[in-house]
Amino acid sequence: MVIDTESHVIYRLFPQNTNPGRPMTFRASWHEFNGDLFAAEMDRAGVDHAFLISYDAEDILWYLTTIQHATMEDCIAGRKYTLQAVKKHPSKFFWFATLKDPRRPDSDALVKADIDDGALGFKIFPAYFPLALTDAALMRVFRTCIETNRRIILSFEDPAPPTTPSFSQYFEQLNRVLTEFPGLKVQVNHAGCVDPLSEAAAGILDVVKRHDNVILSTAYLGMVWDDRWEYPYERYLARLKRLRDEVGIEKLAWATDWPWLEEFFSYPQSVDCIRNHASFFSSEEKDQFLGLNAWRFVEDLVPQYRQARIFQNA
Amino acid sequence: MVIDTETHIMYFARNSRTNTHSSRVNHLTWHEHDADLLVQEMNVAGVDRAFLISYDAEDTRWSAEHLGFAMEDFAGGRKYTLQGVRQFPDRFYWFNTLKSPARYDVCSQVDRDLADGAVGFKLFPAYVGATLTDDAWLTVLKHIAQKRAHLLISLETLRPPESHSLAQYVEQIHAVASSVANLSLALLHAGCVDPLTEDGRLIAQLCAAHPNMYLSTAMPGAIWDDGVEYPFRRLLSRVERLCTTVGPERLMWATDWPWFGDCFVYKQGIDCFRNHASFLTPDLMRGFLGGNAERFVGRFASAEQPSQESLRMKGT
Repeated sequence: MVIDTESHVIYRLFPQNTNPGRPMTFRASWHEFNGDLFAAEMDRAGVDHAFLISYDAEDILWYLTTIQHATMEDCIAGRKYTLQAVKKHPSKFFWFATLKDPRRPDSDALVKADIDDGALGFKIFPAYFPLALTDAALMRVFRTCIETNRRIILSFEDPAPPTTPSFSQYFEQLNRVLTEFPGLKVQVNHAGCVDPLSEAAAGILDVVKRHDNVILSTAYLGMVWDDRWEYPYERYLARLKRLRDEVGIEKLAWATDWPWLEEFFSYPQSVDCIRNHASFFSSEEKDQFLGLNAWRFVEDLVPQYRQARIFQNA
Repeated sequence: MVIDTETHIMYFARNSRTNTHSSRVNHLTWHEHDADLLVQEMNVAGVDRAFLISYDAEDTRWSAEHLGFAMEDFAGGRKYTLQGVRQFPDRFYWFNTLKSPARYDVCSQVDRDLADGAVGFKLFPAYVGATLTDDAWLTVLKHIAQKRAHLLISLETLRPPESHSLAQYVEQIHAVASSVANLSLALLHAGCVDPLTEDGRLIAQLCAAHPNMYLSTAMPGAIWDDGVEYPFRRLLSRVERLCTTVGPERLMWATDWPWFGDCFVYKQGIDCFRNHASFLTPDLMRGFLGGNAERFVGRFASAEQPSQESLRMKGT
């Protein structure tokens, strides 16, 4: 069982037509990365399932505007587009929706709609709102997820203190959330978005060590990709080893963030670098890392997911 | 100067929309790979120029049909490629694929292509049922030599008795290279014989007999058994073997872009050598990645000689 715990399908990002300066080697700027392509990539790479995370352009507007100096029109993707792929490949994709600003008056209804449709949980970019993780609006969402047995995927991307909390503040808030909601199962993407080889990683590592209800997803670790094209990505592997040594294999889950980094590696390379080159993992550890830990994260949800509303008329 | 000695541009090949056995993971089955994209890939990889080889659907029909495809499953060709060449005249050396003289006035086509800027031609002998020592083909090859153009031969997809065998073609190439003066010749895919096998001797002997013959090294031996496992140790071992048997001064780096897009990112196609071909000294590396190709394609402009170091490396 191999599961990719972070992936997306995208029609266009920073389209070439309106962003002629974008390199064509970033192919999402000019061609589609849809569910059929991803399913074919998974098949050839021997990947059974993927957490397929949908976001509308408005969900990542912070990133588009403050990081990329782009606009909402530069992300063509979203919930409906993703659900097309999910419906077409129901045995492959586990759908997660991205939470919209929980302060919106219609937030509860939107959350309920996603849950009713079958979302296994919600991805949250707290800095993009921007909100503290312990904000009352988010705490309400966490309660809803416990009540409905849904998962939370957190990504602490692009904080900008003082407008947003800092990484260390977010990690401290995560500790409080996990303490207050021991029944809430949480995945933290990009291993917390701080470089595991840096001292700053101690904050997230300490939290993960303290709680049983959190795992680290490991695409683009610490939002650093300094191996570029040089497979098998020794720096990435070094970061993984550090994580395993610090938090234990049972807290780690493999991920690619496909297709964001496809200009640097083919999809099979992203799993083969583990299979063939993560010599610091035992065979059993590879099995846990590549899929079993992720499966445990969602296993009890899968039977009802198969009956979800999104599949009823598929 | 870094030169990729085998590339192509196309709308698509082995169309995955109409062929369920053609996987989308090779992107050339469903989206365009145009000159803009190739140039940007070259820029990222630090590649200055490329041999850009055009073929029309009919030129590769033999291979396509053997693989269950039809002419309609390839879209691209001479006109399309020429657009790319004209868009980036400083980046590409254009080679067009030869058609059969049994069906066309190939010498006239050669003249037309040269007038349009071609520096040479590609020939798939099996695809056009060529016997290179026939009068018709000798006429074409002599014409190419007289025009001081270059010839790339690819011995792909031989199916004896439908086509000549490898040994027969090697013999024909030897005869042609011996009899046609000033024929500037390179074999693609290192002659389409696995250098690690006994048959590799055929190409080594052919090269030994013809000091001006070069080998382009995309998918040497027409074999790709490294999968996605960068730095492609089997590829490296084949090129290393060729360094010994043929000599590094005869070898030219190539990727056959975009055909291997499912196996490696373009940058990996060169970094596997830059960063991992420890059998090449810096001087030999420069020759392999571009200097030898520069000498091949520029031989009619200046007759540079291989470096003494590269001659020593040959070791034969």
